[in-house]
Amino acid sequence: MEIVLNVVKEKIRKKMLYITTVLGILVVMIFSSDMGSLTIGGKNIKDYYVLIPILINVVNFLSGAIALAMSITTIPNEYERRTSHLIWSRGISQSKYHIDLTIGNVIVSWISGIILYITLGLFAIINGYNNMLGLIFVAILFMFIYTAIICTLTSALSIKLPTVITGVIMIIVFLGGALRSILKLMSAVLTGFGGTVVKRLIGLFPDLAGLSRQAGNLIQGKPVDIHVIVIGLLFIWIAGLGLILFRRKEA
Amino acid sequence: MNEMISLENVTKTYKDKTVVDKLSLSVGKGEVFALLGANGAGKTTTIKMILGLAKVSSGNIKIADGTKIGYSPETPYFPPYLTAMEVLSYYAGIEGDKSKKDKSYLKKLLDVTGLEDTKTKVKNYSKGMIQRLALAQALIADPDILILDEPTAGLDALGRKHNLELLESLKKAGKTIIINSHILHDIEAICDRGVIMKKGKVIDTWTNGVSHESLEDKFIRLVGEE
Repeated sequence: MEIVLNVVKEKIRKKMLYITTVLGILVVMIFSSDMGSLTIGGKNIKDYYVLIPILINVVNFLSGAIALAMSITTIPNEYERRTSHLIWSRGISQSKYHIDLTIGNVIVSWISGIILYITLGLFAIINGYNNMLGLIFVAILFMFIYTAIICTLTSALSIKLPTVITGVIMIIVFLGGALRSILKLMSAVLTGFGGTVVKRLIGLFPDLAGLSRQAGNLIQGKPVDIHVIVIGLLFIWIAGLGLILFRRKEA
Repeated sequence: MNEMISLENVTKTYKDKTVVDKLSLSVGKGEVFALLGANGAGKTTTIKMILGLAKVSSGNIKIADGTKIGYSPETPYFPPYLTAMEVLSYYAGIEGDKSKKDKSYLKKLLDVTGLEDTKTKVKNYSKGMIQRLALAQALIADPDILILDEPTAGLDALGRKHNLELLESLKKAGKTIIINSHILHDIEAICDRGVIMKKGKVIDTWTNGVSHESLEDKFIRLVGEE
């Protein structure tokens, strides 16, 4: 628990967290107010009820970006600063160490995500959708899964790979996951062996878009696909296994 | 003399490079033992193997059952936004012994290491203060063995004097201490004996007060030879 709390304390002091969160609040504000106008299929979207799934996508994406940016350097920094020496020498196992560092990042990502969701909730009230408020806060659970996937996957890779390579892989995975539905739609026209390979590769991305879609469905009172949630949790479990199995040779 | 740590034919290789080569030594209870050598001699790797921070390629390291080890690294890093008390509380928490988180106990450790000011954040610490904090965190578990990597490096004369006095008092308290240092005057002032390493091998041993030749002369004669 000490390591988790220390990570939370350290990250809360990072300016990056505040900048991204404030940026997120601004994006939500612009979309939610008359300042911004979103046009889909030639129609100007002003109705908050219609807008909310899009805003959920934006907020989850920003929370995921925060999770990625934080997780990418946490474990490498511990080894670079040799803080790991003082942890290993106290008999803390590598897996516990890596898991605690990751949990710390997950918690901070959740905190910034919750702030963004509170902004969404406030704008729901401003736009007269008080009845949405409860569901918006339940939808936070989808953001929890979304960011935990990014944190655990990034942390697991960062144990073994150089930061730049982890970054490149995770940006591809993150964007691939966030745009999975669009990529699937685009790949539908592909045929033959190449097409099959591309479709399979897209299938490997965590379904982040699906999680955001389910959150939107929940708020709009549409059916929620439990399958997407289960697959999301499975991703966290697999990446969590990576935190246990991937090991550094030296502290 | 009770043996606290013994190394038997310990070797460490990285790919094709041998950095510690069949190293054998033993350190008894209450001894202050020096690991000496130029940069790249294998001293830090030896310490890392004793602490379990690096795997031994071959050979054995034996540590007496139930022995608690405290470690102070050469370049300690502590979260800059914490105070010394918070740093100690953090590491005490990691030790898992709730009694060590007691504020009066940690305050005593800070007093012993000359860090009475508990409000200043680590980011405002001098190098000497960080070294002292490193020493304080090494003492949290009331260890039987202290392993200190360059405990006086980069300190001014006053800081060095203070740290040496502290080590002297720990020696009197019966702690077993292993020191890796380049500052041979400090080694002569505090250590009982040691080994001189070169390219991963022990090339000679040294016992305080036995030879007329100073440690510095001996070191230059042995390590300087090609």
